[in-house]
Amino acid sequence: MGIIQNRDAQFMLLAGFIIAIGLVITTVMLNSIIFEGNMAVGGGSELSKYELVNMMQITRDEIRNAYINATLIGGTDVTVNFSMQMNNFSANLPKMFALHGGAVNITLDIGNWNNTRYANFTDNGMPAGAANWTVVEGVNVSSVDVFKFYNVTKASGKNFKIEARNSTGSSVWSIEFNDTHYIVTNITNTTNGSTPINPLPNDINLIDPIYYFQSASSYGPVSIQIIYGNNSYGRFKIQGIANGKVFYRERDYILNTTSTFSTSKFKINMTIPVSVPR
Amino acid sequence: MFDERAQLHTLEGVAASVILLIVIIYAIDATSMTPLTASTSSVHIESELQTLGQDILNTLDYAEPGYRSKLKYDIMNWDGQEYIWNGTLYIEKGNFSSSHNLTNNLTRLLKDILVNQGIAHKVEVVYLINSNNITVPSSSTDIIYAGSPSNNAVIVSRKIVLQDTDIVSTGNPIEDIDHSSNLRNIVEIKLVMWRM
Repeated sequence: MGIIQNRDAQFMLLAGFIIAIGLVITTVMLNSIIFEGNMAVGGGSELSKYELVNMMQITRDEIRNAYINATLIGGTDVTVNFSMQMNNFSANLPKMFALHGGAVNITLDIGNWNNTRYANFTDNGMPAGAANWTVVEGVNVSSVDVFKFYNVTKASGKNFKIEARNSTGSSVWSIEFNDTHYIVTNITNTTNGSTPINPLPNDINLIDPIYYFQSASSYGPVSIQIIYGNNSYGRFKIQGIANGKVFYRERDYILNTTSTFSTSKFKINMTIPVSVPR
Repeated sequence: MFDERAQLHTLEGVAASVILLIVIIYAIDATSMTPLTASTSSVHIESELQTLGQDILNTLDYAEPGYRSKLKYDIMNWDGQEYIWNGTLYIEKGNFSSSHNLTNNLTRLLKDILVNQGIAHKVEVVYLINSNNITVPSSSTDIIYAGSPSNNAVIVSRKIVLQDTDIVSTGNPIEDIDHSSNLRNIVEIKLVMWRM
C-alpha cells in the first residue's frame, strides 16, 4: 500500500498564516487611522480654547480702558469717545485673529450706562450674582483713603451690610443699613452708632469718623466684604493699600459685550458682563 | 501531470516576503526616531510643551485692577532689537561684545523654566501697522531668536492691547495705529518651543 500524498493540510496552514498576518496589518492600520483622527480633532479645537479666553480678556480690558479714558476726558461726549475707541478696537481685532483662520465680531450694549442703571452690589454686578462676597483682602485699614458708596438704592424691608474681617475671618467692623437706621458694630460688639436714616443717603463716605471704620486698624490686615449685595444697587469705590500694594476697586455700571468667534468648524457667541471702570 | 507544489511555493514566497517587509518597516521606524523627529510618539511632549508655554504666558499676563501685566510692561520696554541666548544671558544679536542684554520678566521666567529643562525657544511679536492708509498685521519680528524650530515645535500665543498711555521705549517699532482714540495697537506675542 503506497503513501497517500495530500497537501491539503499544508494549504490550510498557509491560508491560516496569511489570514493571521492580514488581521495584524488591518488592526495596526485601523489603530493608526483612529489615532490620527483623534489628533486631528484635538488639533482643531486646541487653538480655540486659549484664543477664546484671550479674546474675552482683552475685550474686557479694552472696555475698561475706554471707559476710564472717556470719563477722564469728561464733557458731553463721554459715550461718543468711549464708542469711538471701542469701534476702533472692534475693527482691528479681527485682523489679528484672521492670521489663525478665525473670524471675530464684537458688539457692545451700553444701555445701562445711557439709562443710568446702576449695578447690584453683588460679586459680578448682576441681580443673580453672589450676594455675599469679598471685595478685597489684606487691606491695611489706616491706608484706605477712599471708601465710598454712591447713588445707593436699597430694596424696602431688606438689609445691606459692609463688613471688615480679620485674618481668622472674625468681624472687626461692620455697618448695616435697614429701612430706618444704620448700625455700626466694632470688635467688642458694642454698637457705636445707630443714627436714624430715612431714606438711605445717596452718598455714603465710610471714611467719615461717624462710621468708625478706622477703629478696625488695630486688628491687622482685613478683608472687606459685602453682605446681602443683591438687596441694593449703586456705585462704589474703594482705594488703599492691600498686601503692600495700592489697590483700586470701583464699579459704576455693568456693560454687556457679545463676542462671536467662528472658524471653518464652529461658531461661538458669548455675552459677558463687564464691570466698569475696574 | 497535476501538481500543487508550484502553488504552494508561490504562497510560501508571498508569506515570507510579507514577513520580511513588516520586519524592515518596523526596524526603520524604530531606528529613525530622533528627538527632533515629528511623529505620533512626540504628541505627548508637544502637549506638555503647549501647557507649559500657556502657563508661562498666563502668569506673565496677569494684572491686578489698575495695573499693567508684566508681559505688557516687557513689550512696552522692548527696544526693537533681536536677542539670542549665549548660555548665560540673552545678548543683542550681532553685537556680542556689547554688555547690552535683555533682562526682564519674560527672560527671567524663560531662563528659570525653559533653559533649565533644555527646551529651545524663541519669542516673536506681530502687531498692526499702517500700510497705504490700511491697517494690516505686520510680519513676525523676533525678540528672542534661537534658530529654526524643528518639525515638532509648539507655538503658544497671547494678545495684548496697548493704549496711548502705555509709553513705549525708543526703538520700539509698535506704532500708534489710531490717532483718533486712546487705542495704540494690538500685539500678539508668540512663544515657540521645541525639544533639542
